[in-house]
Amino acid sequence: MREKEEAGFVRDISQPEIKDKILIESPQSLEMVKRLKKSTNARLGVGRAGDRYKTETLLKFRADHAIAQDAIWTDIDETLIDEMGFYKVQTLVQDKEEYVRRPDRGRVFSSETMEAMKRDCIHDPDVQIVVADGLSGFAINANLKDIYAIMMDGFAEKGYRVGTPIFVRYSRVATMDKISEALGATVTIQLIGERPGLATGESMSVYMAYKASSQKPESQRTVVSNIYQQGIPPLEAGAQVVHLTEVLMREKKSGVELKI
Amino acid sequence: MAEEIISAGIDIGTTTSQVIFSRLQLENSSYTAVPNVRIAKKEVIYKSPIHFTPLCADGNIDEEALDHILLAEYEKAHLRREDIATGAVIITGESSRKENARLAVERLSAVAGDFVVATAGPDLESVLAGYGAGAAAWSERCPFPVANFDIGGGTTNVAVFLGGELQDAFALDIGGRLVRLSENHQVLYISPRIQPLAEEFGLCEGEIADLKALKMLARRFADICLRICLERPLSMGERGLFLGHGKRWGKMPAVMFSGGVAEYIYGKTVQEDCWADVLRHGDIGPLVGAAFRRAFADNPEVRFLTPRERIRATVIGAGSYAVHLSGSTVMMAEELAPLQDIPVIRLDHPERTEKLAAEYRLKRDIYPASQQTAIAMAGPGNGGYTELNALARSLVEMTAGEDNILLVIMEQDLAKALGLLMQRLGKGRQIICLDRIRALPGDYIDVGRPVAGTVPVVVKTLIFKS
Amino acid sequence: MKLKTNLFGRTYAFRDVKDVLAKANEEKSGDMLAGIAASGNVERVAAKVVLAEMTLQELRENPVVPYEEDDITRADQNAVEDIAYQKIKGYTVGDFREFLLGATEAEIAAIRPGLTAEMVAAVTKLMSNMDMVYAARKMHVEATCNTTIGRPGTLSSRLQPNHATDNPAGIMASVLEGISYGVGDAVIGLNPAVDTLDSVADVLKEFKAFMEKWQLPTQNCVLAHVTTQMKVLEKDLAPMDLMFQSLAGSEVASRAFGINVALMDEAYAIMQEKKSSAGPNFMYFETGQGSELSSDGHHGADQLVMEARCYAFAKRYHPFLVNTVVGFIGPEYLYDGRQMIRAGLEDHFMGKLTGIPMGCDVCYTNHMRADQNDLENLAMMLAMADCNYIMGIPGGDDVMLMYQTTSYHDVAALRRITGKRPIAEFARRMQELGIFDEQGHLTEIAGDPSLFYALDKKLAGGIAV
Repeated sequence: MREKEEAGFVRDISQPEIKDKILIESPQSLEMVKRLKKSTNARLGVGRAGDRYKTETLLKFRADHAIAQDAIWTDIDETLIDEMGFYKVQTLVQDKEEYVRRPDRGRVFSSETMEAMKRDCIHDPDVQIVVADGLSGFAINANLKDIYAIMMDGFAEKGYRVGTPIFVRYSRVATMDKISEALGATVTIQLIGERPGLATGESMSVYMAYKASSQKPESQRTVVSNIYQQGIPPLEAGAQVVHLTEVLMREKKSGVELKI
Repeated sequence: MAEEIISAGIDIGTTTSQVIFSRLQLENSSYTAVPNVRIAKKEVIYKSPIHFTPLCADGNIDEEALDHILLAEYEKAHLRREDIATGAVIITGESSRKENARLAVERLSAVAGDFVVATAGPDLESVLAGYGAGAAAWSERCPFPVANFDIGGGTTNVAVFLGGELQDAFALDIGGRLVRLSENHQVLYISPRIQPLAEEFGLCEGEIADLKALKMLARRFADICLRICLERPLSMGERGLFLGHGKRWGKMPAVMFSGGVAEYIYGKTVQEDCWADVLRHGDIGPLVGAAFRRAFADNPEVRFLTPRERIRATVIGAGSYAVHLSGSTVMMAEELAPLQDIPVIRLDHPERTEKLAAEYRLKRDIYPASQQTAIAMAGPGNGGYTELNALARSLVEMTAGEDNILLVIMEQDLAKALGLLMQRLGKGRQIICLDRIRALPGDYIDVGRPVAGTVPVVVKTLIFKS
Repeated sequence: MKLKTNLFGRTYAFRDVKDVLAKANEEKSGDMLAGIAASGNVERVAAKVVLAEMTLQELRENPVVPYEEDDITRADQNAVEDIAYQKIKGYTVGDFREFLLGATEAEIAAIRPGLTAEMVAAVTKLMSNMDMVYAARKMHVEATCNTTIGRPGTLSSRLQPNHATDNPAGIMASVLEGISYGVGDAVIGLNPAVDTLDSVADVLKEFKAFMEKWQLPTQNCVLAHVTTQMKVLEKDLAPMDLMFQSLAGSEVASRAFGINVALMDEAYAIMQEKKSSAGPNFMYFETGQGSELSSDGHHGADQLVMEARCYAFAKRYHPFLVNTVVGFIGPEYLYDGRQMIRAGLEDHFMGKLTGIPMGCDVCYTNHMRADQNDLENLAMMLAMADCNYIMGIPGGDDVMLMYQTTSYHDVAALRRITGKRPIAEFARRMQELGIFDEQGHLTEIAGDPSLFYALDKKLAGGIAV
C-alpha cells in the first residue's frame, strides 16, 4: 500500500485493514479500544468530528455501500459462465429493475424455456447443478470456479451422474424446483448470489434439496451461506456440499427433515 | 443446538493428587448446514478432595493405590469410564521426574477413560493453572496483563495473559514444602535447589530451625516474586531459581495466586509467632502464604486480584482448558482416534509445493520412519483450486512410502477441502485433516474421538522451553 | 356511500372502501406488487378525493378484514369508546385532517379512543409529509417503564449492540461505545443471532448487571421470539424489563410470526407478574409496512392500512416502545428513498394518532434504491416531528441484520440540531460520568468506549463490564 502511495496514489480505503484502524484521537486506553474492536465486526472506535463522522469513516461507509449497490444493479458478466460451458436460460424477468420489484416473475420460466431445457439437458441426473445470479453477479464470478472444481472432483469420486450445468439469469431460489421437476434430478444444488452486505458483494449461498419440487415448502432446502474468501472459503464450502450431497442421497430427504 | 460432554481433569502432583469433572456445553452457532461448534460453557460438576499422592518405598508413584483412589472418585461422582468424552491427565511438579511417572499415567488412562494424556512440563502446568485460576478470563476485561502465580509444594508456576491470550509462562523453585520440619522444630529436609538461599538464613538440615529465619526465607520468596513482577533486579543466585528458562514478558501490574500456598494468601491465616500454628503441615507453606499476602495485598505498585480457584486451579485447567476443538468441517474417520503424543512437523512454506518435499524430508528424518507424525501448517494460503490440489498432491506423494496415517493440521479453515483432494489422490490411505488448530515445531499433540462433528485436540506446547 | 368521481374529464370509480384506501395510498412498490395500487397519478388523486368525502363511520363499518374472520379487527373494534366515537363519526376524512391540523393536543387526545385503524390510515393518505410532521408534533405520547419516554424536549435512543454470533464480549463492546455517546436511554436491546433460552437469558443478565454497575436508568431487552421470552420468565432465568415481539396487522399474517391475540394476552399477563421493571408500560413492539403481503395475510388491502392495524394491536398492551423498522423489508415493498421517507413519516404519525409511544428504526437495505442521505433526511424530519426514539448502532452498520440504520453519531447530532436531550435521569447520569456537559452536549472524552476503564480503575480495578 505504501508503495502505491509513493507512486502518486491516494490510499486505498477499501483495504480491509482500514476497518481495523482506531480513529479516536486520545482514548483513555488504546489497548482496550483495540481489544473491544477485535471482539466484533461493528464499526467501533471511529472517533468523531464534532458529533459527526470523520471524513475517512464517512468515505469508507460510502465505498462499502457503493460496491454493494453495484453488485446488485450490475448485470452479471457471463464470460466465465460461457467459458465453463453452462447451459443458459432466463426467467420471465427482463431487467434488474423488474427483478428487484417482481420476485414472483424471477421464480418461473416461460413454457418455451421449459420445453427447450427438457429437450437439451440430461434427464434423471443424480446431481443437478444450477447457478443463479440472484442479487449479486459479483458473488458468482468470485466463487464459481473454485467451488465448482472441487464439487466435480467430489462427485466423480463418489461416482455420481452429474446433469447439464445450468445458468439462470434474473433468478430467485425457487427456479431450482422448476428445473428439478423438468429434469427429474435426485439432488439439485443451486449456487446463488446473496443480497450484498456492506463491503461484501461477493457472498454466495448454496441451496440443496432432495427431489426439489415447487409443491414442497421452502423448508425442503438445506442451506450453506456466507460463502466468500473471508467467510466460508468456496473450496471448503464445496467440500461440505459434497458431504451434504452424500447425506441427502443416503437419507432421501433434505432441509428441516434432515437433522444435521 | 447444544450438546454436553463430560471432561475429566486429573492432576498427580508432588504432594497431592486430585480429580475434577467438568461439563462442557458445545454449541453449534450456525443456522445453516455448515456447523460451527464451540465450547459455550464450562462448569465444574465434581471436585474430589485433595489426596496425598501415594508413593512406594522407593519414592516412585504407587500405581495401584492411585488406581484405587481414582476409581473411588468416579463412583462418588456417579460417572463411569465411558461417560468421559475427553480430558487430560497431567503429572506435575517433582512427580513428573519420578521414574515411573509416564507408565503410571498411561495406566491411569486405561482405568479412567481413554482420553488424552499430557505429561506436563513446568510451562504447560503454569498455563493450565493460569486458566484454571481465572487469570486468562480476568485479562480479557482489563487493559493490562494479568499474571497468575501457582505456588505449590515444590514449584511456583507463572503464566501471564493479556487480553485473554497467553504471553509468557515460566516456573521457579519456590514452594511451601521445599523446607520440611519436625514437630520439635528440627529441619528434616531442605530442597537442594534452594540450599544456597537457605544457608544465607542459617538453615541446615538436621538442626533446630529459628522461626525468624524461616520467616525471612518466606519473605525472600515473596520479595523475589514481587521484584519479578516489577522488573527489578535479581541476584545471580535468585536467577538460578528459574526452572529451565527465565521470563520474557515485561512488568506484571496485576497478579493473582493459586496453588496450595494460596490458601494462606487469601483464606486461612496463620499466627506467625506460634510454632504450633506454623507447623500444621510440617513445612513452611503457611509462612510463605503469609509472606506473600504481606508483600502483595495493599501494595500500591501491583493490583492484587482474587483467583477463581486456589489449590484446584491446575486440575481445573487440565479438565476444562487443555482441550481445543478443531473446526467443524474436517476429515477424520472416528476409528482412527485416539492418537497420543504425536510429534509435530511444521511446514513453513506450504504454498511452495515444488520445494515442499525437501522441507518435509529434512524435518521428518529426525524421527524413525515408523513414528506417527503430524504435519502442521498455517494453511494453504489464498490460492484457489489449482494451488490446493497441488498441495494435496505434494502431501500425498511425499508421504507415499510411509505406513502411518497421513495426519495434517492447520489453522486456516480448509481441512475438509484439502482432505477431500488428498483422499482422491491417495486412494486407500488413512487420512486425518483438521483445521483451526495451531501447532508449532517441537509440540506434541493428542487427538481425541470426534464430538458433535469436531475433534478435541490437546496441543502440548513447549515453545517457552527455548 | 359515494365511490365515484370525475377528474379532468374522466370518471374514476372504485369497488369498495378497501379499493379506495388502496388507490389513495402514496406510491409504494408493495401495493404495486399486490396489484392493488392506483394505475396512475390522476387515479391516485381521484381516490384521495373520494376518500376525503368518506365518513369515519363508513370506515369503522368497513374494516379491511371482516370482524368475524380476524382477531385483530375484533380487538380494534371492541376497544372503541363510544363517547369519543360519537363525537367524530360524522366527520369526513377531509374534515378529520383539518381537525387534526387545527386542534390542540388535548382536543386530539379526547377523540383518540373513538378511532379505528382504518380511520387512522385513511387520514394519513390525505396528509402531506409536512402535515404529518406538523400534526405529530402536538401528539406527545408518554410511557413509563423504569423511566418515562416521550416527554417534550426529549429524543431517546435504543442502543442496538447486535453481533454476528452473539459473542458476549463483542456485544458489550458496542454497549460501552454506545453509552459513551449518550445512546441507550430508551432501551439496551439486542436482536439475538441465536434464539435459545440460555443465550437470551445470558444477554439479559449481562445488560442488567451493566446497568446496575454503572447506575444507568434505562431498560434491558433481548428481541427474541415472545415464546422464548415467556420461557425465560417462567423459569426465572433472567431479569427482563421489556418484553419484545414483532407484530403484523392481521390474524393470518400474525400466524406467520407465530403469534395471535390470545398468545400476546398470555405473554402480557406473564410479563406483568414477572417483569423486573417498575412502571406500568413494559412491552416493546416492532412493525413495518409490507410484512402482511409477504406472508400472504394482507386480504387485498394496502400496506399502510395493514400497518395502522398493527398499531391497534399494539395499543391493547400499553407498550413502552413501538417502532416501525421502516426500510428493512426491501425494495419490493418500499422501492427507494422517497418511498422509505414517506413510509417513515406515515408510520410515526399513525402510531402517535393511535396513542402509542412511537419511535422509528430509520433504515434501508442494500438492495433498495436508497442511501445514507435518504436515511439522514428521514431522521431529521422525525426529530422535528418529536419522534420518541430512534436506533443507535456503531457507524450505522448492523453487522448481524445486514442493513443500515441510524448511528450513535446520528443520535448525538440530532439532539444537538434540535436542542433535545435524552430522558432526564439518563442525561443526568451521563453528566455524572463526564460524557455530557451541562448543556447536554458530548464532552471531549465522549465517544470513547475505554473511558469506562479509566472510571473503573477508581472503583474496582479494571473491569468495565
